[in-house]
Amino acid sequence: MRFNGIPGVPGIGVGEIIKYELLDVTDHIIRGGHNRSYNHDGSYINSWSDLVELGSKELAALIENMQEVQGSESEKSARDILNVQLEILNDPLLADNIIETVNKGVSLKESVKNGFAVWKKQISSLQDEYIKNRVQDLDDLEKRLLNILSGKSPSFLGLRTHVILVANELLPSELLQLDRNFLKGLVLAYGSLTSHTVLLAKAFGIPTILGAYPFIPHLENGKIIKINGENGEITDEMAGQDVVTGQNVFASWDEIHNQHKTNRQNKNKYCPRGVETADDFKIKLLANLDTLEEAGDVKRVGAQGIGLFRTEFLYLKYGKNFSQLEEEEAYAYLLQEFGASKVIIRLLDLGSDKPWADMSIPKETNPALGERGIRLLLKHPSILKRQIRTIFKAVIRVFNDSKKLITPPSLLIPMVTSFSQIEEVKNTISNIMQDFPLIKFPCIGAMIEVPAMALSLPVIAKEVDFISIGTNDLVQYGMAIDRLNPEMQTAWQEPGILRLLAMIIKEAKRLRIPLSVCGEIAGLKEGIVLLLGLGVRSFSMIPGSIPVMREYISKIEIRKVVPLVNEILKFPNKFSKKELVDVFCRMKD
Amino acid sequence: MPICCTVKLGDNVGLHGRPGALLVDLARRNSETRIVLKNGGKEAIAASLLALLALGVGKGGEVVVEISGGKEEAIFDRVLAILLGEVR
Repeated sequence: MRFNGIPGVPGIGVGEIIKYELLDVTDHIIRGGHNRSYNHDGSYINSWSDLVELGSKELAALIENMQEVQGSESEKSARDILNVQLEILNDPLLADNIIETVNKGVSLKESVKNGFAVWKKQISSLQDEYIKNRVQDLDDLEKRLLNILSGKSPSFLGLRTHVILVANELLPSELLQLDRNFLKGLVLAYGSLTSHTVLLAKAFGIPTILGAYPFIPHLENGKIIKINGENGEITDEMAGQDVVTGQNVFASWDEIHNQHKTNRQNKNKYCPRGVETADDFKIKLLANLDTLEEAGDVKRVGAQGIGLFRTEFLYLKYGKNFSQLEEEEAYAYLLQEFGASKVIIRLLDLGSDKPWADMSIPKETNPALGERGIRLLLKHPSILKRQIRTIFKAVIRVFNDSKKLITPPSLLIPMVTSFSQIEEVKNTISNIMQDFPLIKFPCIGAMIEVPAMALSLPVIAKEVDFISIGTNDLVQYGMAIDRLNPEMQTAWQEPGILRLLAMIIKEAKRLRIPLSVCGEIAGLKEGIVLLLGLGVRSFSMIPGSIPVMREYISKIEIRKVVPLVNEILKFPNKFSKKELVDVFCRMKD
Repeated sequence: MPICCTVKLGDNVGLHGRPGALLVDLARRNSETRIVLKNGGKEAIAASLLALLALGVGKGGEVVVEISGGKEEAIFDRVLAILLGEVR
């Protein structure tokens, strides 16, 4: 099969076709089941100003999400588009029109449709191509508002496999809600090069082909295809190679793919399960959680719990208006869904690339080397106390009729740089606990992210119940390289870092302290193999990666990997794919 | 003193997106002053992004700017800067 469309965004994409209109019924999505506003079902929204407030909150949250990677061009374009939508939402003339219609007795929903129709008509009749295309933004915004009115909140759509999305058209915020880690290409029936969706796809580097309407019926859901955004070519002819990385030593895509097909039956039940390697080692799989919407994903993929709840994203998302009650509800929700023993809440990790406007952080020349993590939090004891107190309140709320002592969720301390910080945090907790006599002292974990602490494990192990290796920051500080630098992708492969990890893991075993790895390395195939070989048996990663990783790990034999990893530790330089393959092949024989 | 003047937009500036948003912001912060842009028989208050978009003024196009009600000079300077692309 071979078709030619119009080139939209260059690049090669390989993946399984999903037709956008079938996204709702397909098994590929891991839809965030949580409606962000838990009691909102749309029926209480009576006025345009209420709707504007909710819509503004949603857009602001989406914009904040885009700010995770600061300075990235793609996120900046996405933010600009969303900002324009925010502006339109607050437009006085639109408001006048809609309010007037409502006052005549028309329903809010119809009034919104009317108001938007008036402006869409005006703008689509303009000459200027670029401005004319802004109708797409009006469509996008209108859809968002109508969804709010009918109680449907947008959710983050995690994808399970590498996907080529095929759609008639796609609105910008629909694109923004898809998991970009797994979206490998876009094929649109129509679409123009100046549409915001294509501009975003370009900014995100997603290969895109337009004008596919003549052959879209031939693109069957589930078929694996390769698209070339440079010349517009779509084909299913591929040299038998692994579509995930292009070259694979350990498992082939087809195998994993077929396994997926049989596993899709259980999509509705929450079956938390780890995985056993091919030689029967039990591996724990937990999920990293940034936003509550992903909680549904966590269940879908059967993660055994939440290994890392990054609470700072709650604060960053809701900003100044984040009330203690809302925060309490957020924790309560998680505790309800997963139970306290399966949730690890990381205390606010702000500063560096996550500044929070409400916290006065002094301007620094080197934020990554300055006030951040627990160091920062301890300088703002009221904020630390508030967070801990709110967590306990949530615990009481959820488990309030327990007759015995209640176990709270585990708490993880971010960016520990000195033993005294652990003591201070524990003291703070002890003081607060006097107001919560029914709650047991929580399990405390320390994030090992700086070399100094990696070397202080024997001391730390006495005061904490578990440790979690934050590989992103450990590599940043261990290699003196900015975590936002693209070269970070492979910096972790430097043998020195691997030896550092090896040492941490070995010490943790010796000190009998539970250890887990959360951090991007755990989401990479080579990373998992290395970590397994080094002795890690518990991982926390983004929900979207879990299904593939589960399959992948089930095919690995640890006893074969251990000698491989020992060899690599001796390398003077980063291992290259070829070397990895060579060593592995030698071992196979 | 009311100001009424025709302005040619910068070559890379169209009446949409960022320039539009800047004008809306300006109008919002100076709500006593009446800022109106006109083009091709249509007129738009600067406080409404939709109205500005509907004028359909593309890059390098022309608009008539009318300002009245107070602080006209200062506001006009700002409007000019936005339309010429001098504000990011």
